[in-house]
Amino acid sequence: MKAITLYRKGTMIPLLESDTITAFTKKILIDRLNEQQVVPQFFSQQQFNILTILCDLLMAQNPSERICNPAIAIDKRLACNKTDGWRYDAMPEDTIAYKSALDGIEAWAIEKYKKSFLVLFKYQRLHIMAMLQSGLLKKDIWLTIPSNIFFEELLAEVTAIFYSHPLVMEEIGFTGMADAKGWDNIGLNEKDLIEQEL
Amino acid sequence: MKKLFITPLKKYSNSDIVDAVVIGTGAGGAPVLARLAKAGLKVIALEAGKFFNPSTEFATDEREQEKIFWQLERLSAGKNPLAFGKNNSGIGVGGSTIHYTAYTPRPQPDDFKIYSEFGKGTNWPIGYYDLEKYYDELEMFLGISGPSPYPWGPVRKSHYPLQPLPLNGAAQLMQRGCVPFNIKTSPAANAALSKAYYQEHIGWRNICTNRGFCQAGCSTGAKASMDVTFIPYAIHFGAEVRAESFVTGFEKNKAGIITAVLYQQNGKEERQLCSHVFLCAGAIETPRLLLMNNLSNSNGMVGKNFMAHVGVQVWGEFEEMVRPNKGIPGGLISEDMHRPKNVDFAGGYILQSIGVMPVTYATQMARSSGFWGDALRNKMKGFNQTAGINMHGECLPDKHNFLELSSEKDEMGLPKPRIHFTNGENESSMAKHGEGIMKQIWQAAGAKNIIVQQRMAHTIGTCRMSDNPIDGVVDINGKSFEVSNLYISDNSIFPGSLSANPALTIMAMALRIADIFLEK
Repeated sequence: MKAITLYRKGTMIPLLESDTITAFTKKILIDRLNEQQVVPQFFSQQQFNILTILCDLLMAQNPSERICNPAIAIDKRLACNKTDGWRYDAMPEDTIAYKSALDGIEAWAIEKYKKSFLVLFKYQRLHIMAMLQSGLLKKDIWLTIPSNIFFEELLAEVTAIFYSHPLVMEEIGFTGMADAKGWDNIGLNEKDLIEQEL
Repeated sequence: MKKLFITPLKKYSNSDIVDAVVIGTGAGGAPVLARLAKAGLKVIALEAGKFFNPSTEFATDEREQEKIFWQLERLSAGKNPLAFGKNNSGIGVGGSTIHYTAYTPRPQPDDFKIYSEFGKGTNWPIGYYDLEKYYDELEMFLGISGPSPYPWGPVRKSHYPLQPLPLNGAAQLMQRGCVPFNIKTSPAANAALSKAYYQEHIGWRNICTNRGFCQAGCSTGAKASMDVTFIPYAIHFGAEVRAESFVTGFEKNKAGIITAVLYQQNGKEERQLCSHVFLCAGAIETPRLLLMNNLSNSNGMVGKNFMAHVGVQVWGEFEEMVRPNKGIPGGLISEDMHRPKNVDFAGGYILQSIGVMPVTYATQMARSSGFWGDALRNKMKGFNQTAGINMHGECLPDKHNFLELSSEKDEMGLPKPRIHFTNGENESSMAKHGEGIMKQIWQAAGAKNIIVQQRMAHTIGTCRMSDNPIDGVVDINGKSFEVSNLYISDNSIFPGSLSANPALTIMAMALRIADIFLEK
């Protein structure tokens, strides 16, 4: 099935500036759009850089055209020791799991390729990520952190942050935030005025 | 713009001995608070979360709205560990009704007698007809939009006060997919308004504008969460609602009667004197509080028999534009699987169409299907053509599923709860049956790229209501078997899960518990 992309690139910004969005929603989304790169507060610079690469690969982002870097929000959350309400009992606390896993990925890269993860070729990084997801790694730090569960947790968090970004919403044709007046046409193939204009 | 009435909030002193402290303001606590206040009692609700103003503080943004979910960490164990947080646990005045989907089907009478019918599970010590008058009352009070007559279950004494909400794309697709199999469908009963609605002592609530962000909090007041229904009603009759008040313990006298509730507010320890306590904090926090305080647990039943509904979802992509974020998420229902023929499990399930918000969908897809990279990006480009169908089925109580306190501390310095959950044969068998039916329906509706997500929904059990002190925590009136001025009113007291979404029954139980308390 061919996916339909509704909106041309560049249509989200005018939408955010319109009165179709409530003031509070607008503020949230524009702040997110303007998020700045900061010095990591929780991770070491090396851990942060590894996490950034993982985020890029998980969301298929080219670093030179990166829409958003979920590593920033993850670092911010862990610096405040915030959780999302639960974790698998098989995992240590997020603060421990993240740092240990990122160090474990680096150690693994050095063991397997004799190089830092930061300088590996893409195919080598992808191989490591596939192994992580498979859960087949069962030595060193991965004896206490099941790699498949870490991968699932990381992927879920990165996905939630990435798909909350207005320009990623533009990519999937999502305009649900423009609901200040609500929706009148909600059935199959029905469009509201805002959707027809775009 | 129609408005809710605003009554100034009554303030009691901590040294006033109030008639009752209600802990928690969700579907279990808010109706109790309103009933007691209306009867003229001095009542205070203590709520761990904030008292939000939805019109100015709720965004159409899932990440921002994470503030309405319980975020203190819970440990999830067992072979089918459950997601908590935004999956099923709320915080703020209104509790989990702030994020509930507003599905309000009634259970059917035989749900309460599942052991008698199948020799499995547990009968409830009360039945449908003990709650019927409360269902009638609640549907009128909340302003439920639904079909009349309702196609399943016993003939009702009352009609829904409002016409059903309009069907969205997912609902139309389920309707279409059910036709070839002669599966009867109907617009669902939802606690969101298909027309502006006036309630005495509350004021006007606005018609639903089809935002579809019900699970991230309703910003218009159309959804009947407790903060726009029972809470303002309770405040009108003199109840005090004390937000950001996290209960940690109790004081008791020599006779074992609770004399005060201890809580933290603004970083300070506070103490509210009271004559009675209604514990309404839900199936995780209620048992956690009891276990932390070694209360009402001499038979060891606190935390036992944790349950979660079988909630498998089937997603597909369609030729048509669906825009699944629009309209009430659960627009269509079928109860034809209430007691399916020729199956090897007890009980049954409801089928429901489901819309979805993008971040929820993307995250579920990533977790359950393992999509990432280009596969995820491409999958998500089909978001506007995506729709889902969901089953909501009975879960049997089981001794292997329980809650305990761990040795880890949360940010409040309190022990984190650990919840063990593993599907039994009954749940696995039902999930398989439902998955097969839903796939057929979705294929018939025209779905491509079908994906199945195994999941469980809601938190139930842990402080069972029973007519026997040996196997329960509260009696049939919600009163603790051990502490004579302690009552529990929430989903923790459900002896069985029922197959219907729980909110309406939690409220009905709450009104019944309050009425019996007042009679005595």
